[in-house]
Amino acid sequence: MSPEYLPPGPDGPSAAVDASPSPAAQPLELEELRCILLGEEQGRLAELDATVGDLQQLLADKDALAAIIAPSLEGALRDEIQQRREEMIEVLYPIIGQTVVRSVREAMQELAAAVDARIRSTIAPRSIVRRIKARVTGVSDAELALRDALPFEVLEVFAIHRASGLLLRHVTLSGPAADDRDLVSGMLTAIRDFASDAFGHGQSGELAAIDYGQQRILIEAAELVYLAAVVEGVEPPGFRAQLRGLAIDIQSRYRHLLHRYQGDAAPFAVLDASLTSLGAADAQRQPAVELTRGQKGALAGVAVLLGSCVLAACLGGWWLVRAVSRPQPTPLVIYVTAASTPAPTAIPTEAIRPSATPTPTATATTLPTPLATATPTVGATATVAAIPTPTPIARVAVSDVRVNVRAGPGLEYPVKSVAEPGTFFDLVARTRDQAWAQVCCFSDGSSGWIAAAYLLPAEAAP
Amino acid sequence: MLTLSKKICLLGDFAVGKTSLVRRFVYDLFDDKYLSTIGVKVSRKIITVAREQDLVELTIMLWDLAGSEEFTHMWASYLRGASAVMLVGDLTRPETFDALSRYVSDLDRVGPRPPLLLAANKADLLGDSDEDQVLVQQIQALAEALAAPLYLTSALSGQEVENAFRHLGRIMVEHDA
Repeated sequence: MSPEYLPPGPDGPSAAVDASPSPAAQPLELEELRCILLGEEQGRLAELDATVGDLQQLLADKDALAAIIAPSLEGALRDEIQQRREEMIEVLYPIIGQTVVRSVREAMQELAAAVDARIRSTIAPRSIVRRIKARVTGVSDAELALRDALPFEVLEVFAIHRASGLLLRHVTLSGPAADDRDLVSGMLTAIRDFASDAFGHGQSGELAAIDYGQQRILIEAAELVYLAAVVEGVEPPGFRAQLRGLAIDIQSRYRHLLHRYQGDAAPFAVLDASLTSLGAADAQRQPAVELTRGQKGALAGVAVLLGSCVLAACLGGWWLVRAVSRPQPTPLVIYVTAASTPAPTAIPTEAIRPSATPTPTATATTLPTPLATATPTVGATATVAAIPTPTPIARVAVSDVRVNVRAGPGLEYPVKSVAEPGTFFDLVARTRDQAWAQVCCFSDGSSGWIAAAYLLPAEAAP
Repeated sequence: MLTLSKKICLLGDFAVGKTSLVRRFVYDLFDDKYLSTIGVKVSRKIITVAREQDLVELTIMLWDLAGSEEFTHMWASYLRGASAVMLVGDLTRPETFDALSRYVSDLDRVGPRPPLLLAANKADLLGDSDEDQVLVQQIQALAEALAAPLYLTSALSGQEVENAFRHLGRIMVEHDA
């Protein structure tokens, strides 16, 4: 506004001229006038400046901006998806569909690799056990193999005092070691108590697992202690049994400490190895397939049958070893001359010893005729079936050494007497292997057996 | 140095300031929302306590039990295994101290009574009036009847909060010795 111009006053222009201020006071008045006329606008302008400044700051802080617009965006997106579901699916399918397909493909490849590895180890004892298990349970071998191949990992294991929820021990088997595990054990105990109170309805039963995303907390409890294993994947058969067994084992080993637990966890440090073993290869795990009573009976029958077979095999083996290690008498085949006087009138029904009354005859022939066989037993007198009175085959003499005369054809027979070198005998019979010769006759008229190696034909004797 | 862990439970009516006392004293990992969902929240504080000639590093696991009625029936489960209990009342609401005797009876049903400590909270709002002095005397009588040390605490100013928990720690450690 120009300082020369003033709006007309109530008294007209002249009055305005008269009332005009001095030059020094003019800027102040103008300023007041400006405030009167533009004060409201200036205030609004200042507010706008402040608002723009705040917005600029907000735009510079990406996190704050996201926090502000996120609720609105979420709401808008939710409404949009609900109202135009089909269209949204069509729009998103190329992206999400491919992601899902890729993820499934990778999972299947891993599974195929695991199954392949299992099949390659098909002759391992574990696979044989699995096949037996498949037969017994009625589940196919392939299904069990697939089940075994599913990925599984133990991430953490907690040993927790059941009443107080105080942490006894904790091991981290996979991933970074986390702090505050004592707080987690306390809250876990609180959640177990809550579940028991809220859903137990006075009945026995406890929270056994908590699922969250890819992970699970498997819980197995004994009376005074419980174990919680944080796992990923599907637990293999027997894992829960192993967990429960360990909880019971800890309780039985530390019952006194656990019963009056004073908060000193130091004695439980030795449990770390046991807790860590839960993450070991599942080869150690016991099969946890629950068998029906009939299946258990059949399994017991098979076990008894197998046991009987093993026992019979052992007994048979023992008998065989005894039989082999026992001194085996030389199978005896007696060759005698065809002619004999007098001819036997009857064949005795029981085994008899060779007769001690051979009747020498000049018609002896060297052509032997097998009459019978006998297999003497150890410690028993050698028996020869149906031996008539021996008839000399030839005349023999003891070689140049003293030899034992035995009651039978073998070293196991007792020594009857000793024959001096050059002693002549009638050869009555020989064993099939020609090792022993029955000779006759001694001073008492009996016959005896001499190792053939020490006999010479009479004409060759010195 | 011996290391021990102990469980302490806080008992008291709704809004007496249990959670505020805990927040003043402990390291928190979990959100307070658990109090309204499962009725309890576990926090931790590690202190060093003298026992005879030794020092004991004591890890206190604090179970803050929600005081609202829908959770009081679950207290029996939560109280199991507690080595000590802090009873909390509100000095601006004298009736909250009347309920403490009932809670102690509930505690006795769970098992042998652990050592107790009585915290009369919101002491910053206590005046010098005769009425307030009488109230304090009544609370002292209650503490004597329960054989529990009394602390006039303020979660707002922090008055006596640390001392109350340390006293409870000493009681637990001496109780074991």
